[in-house]
Amino acid sequence: MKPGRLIYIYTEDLKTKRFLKDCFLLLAAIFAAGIICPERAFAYLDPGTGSMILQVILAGIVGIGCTFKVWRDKIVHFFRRNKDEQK
Amino acid sequence: MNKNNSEACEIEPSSFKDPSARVFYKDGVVYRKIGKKYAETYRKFMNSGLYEKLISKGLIVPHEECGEVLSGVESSGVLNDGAEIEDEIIIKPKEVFVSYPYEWCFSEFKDAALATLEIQKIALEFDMTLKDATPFNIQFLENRPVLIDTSSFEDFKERPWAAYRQFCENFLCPLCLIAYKDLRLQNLLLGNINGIPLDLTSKLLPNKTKFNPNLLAHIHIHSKMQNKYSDNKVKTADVKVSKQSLLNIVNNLYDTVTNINLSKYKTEWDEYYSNTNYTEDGFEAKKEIINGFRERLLPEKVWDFGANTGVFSRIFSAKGAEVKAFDIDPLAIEKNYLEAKACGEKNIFPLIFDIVNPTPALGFDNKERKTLNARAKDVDLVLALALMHHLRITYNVPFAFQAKYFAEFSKHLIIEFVQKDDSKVQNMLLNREDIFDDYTKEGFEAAFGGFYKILETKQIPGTRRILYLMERN
Repeated sequence: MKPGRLIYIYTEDLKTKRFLKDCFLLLAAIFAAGIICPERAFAYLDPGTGSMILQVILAGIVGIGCTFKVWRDKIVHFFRRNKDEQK
Repeated sequence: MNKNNSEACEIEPSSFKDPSARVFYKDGVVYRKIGKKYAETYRKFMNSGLYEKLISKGLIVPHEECGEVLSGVESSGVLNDGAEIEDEIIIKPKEVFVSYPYEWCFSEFKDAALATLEIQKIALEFDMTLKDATPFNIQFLENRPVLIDTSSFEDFKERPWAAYRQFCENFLCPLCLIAYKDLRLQNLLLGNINGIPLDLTSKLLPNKTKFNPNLLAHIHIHSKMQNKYSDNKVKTADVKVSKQSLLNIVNNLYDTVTNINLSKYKTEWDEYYSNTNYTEDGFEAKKEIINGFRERLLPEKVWDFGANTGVFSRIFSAKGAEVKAFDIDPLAIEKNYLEAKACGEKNIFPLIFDIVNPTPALGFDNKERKTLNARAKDVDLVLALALMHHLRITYNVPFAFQAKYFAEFSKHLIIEFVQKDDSKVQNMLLNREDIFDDYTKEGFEAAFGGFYKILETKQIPGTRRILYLMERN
């Protein structure tokens, strides 16, 4: 079956259609609320665009580093456990 | 400004950047008024346990709330600076002596940086964050760095830290330049009171710092990122950084700063006390004479100019006086501070200071950051030991100018007159013409007599030096 046909069958049911429409409207409302009702901000400093982006990058690198450490510890633990079992 | 009311109020000139609060003085006492819009955040800060935790760690200046006491102040036009802030909460922080980052020795600066990061880490535990990370928000109370801006906190949203760049330019850059390039680069802060720019720091630092991944990220790459996005065309409203990620970055900054250390520096003053003109007996005699003067005056606040590592400052601080020890040599101040820390001394605070080129008034309208004279309050005694010959001969400052200068600070003065036949003075005159005809005991006494009355005179045995105890006319 063509994908287009699949989608048509999926949304053929009226109830489902209405449900999806309601979800979309709700999400749009939440998104709009985020813009119309901004959170109170007291920051008076200019944070610097480059500095903000760098932090996102560093967060990612640090995240990779943390993930690496978690996996390294798991691997070490796995081999240690095997060693103990062999004994 | 309405000065007609009887309560003399003045806004602190440097308190204008953050609209959440204003620092002001009433009858010489410092207060902070919390703006109505910030009141809820302030209450969260106080009630969440964050304030208590910072107090328990000695990281913030303690304060008391005193709104009712100052209810009359609200009507004072002085505080209505057009910002339409309605007064709700007024707090009275404990008063601290104000010093500036360009006056701190390396370790004082480093401790201030680490304190800022520790405060940010603790704030994040309570879902709050620092709005700014400027060294002017850190002062030293009993030799510990404390945050004096109680209204510097806001709710944490999952966004990058707005103060990250400020931290790098105001703490990381100066510390790296001092440690890795030259001590004297600290003076760049005088011309850049909002922090040494990242690109300038990146240019000045030696290439070896590029092999340090932390400095590479926080300074060199940071500088490039700043240049790349300098036209601010990219909207960063939606970038997200989780609390854990931010905590990781702050921890990384903490490790970075911890690992910045001074290499072995030598200056002419570093081994001063091992190459002096005093015999051991002469040195002890000098201490005894000064102690005798101390017993006569019992001063509470002492400022020691040319204090070096603080040997003579400690004659006063050991007996409970509050001492500020000033010297032009950053390494002498460093030694003094590290000794004070190691011994748990709370009442001697050393600062870098050049008498012939003192810290100027800086900032907007030259009022944000004050001269040392403007910060001198109730000083009982000035010490000027082994100093006047350097001022007179190396810097050509006449005796009368020196007398007038010291007289502005305090009522009493202990000054050491170094006679011309002292070997140190002879050394200074070795390769230059002796134009100092007035450099005699009589000339010295006459010049200082215009500003002071001489109370006592004592020759230090075995030396060509005389100690004077003087009282301002």
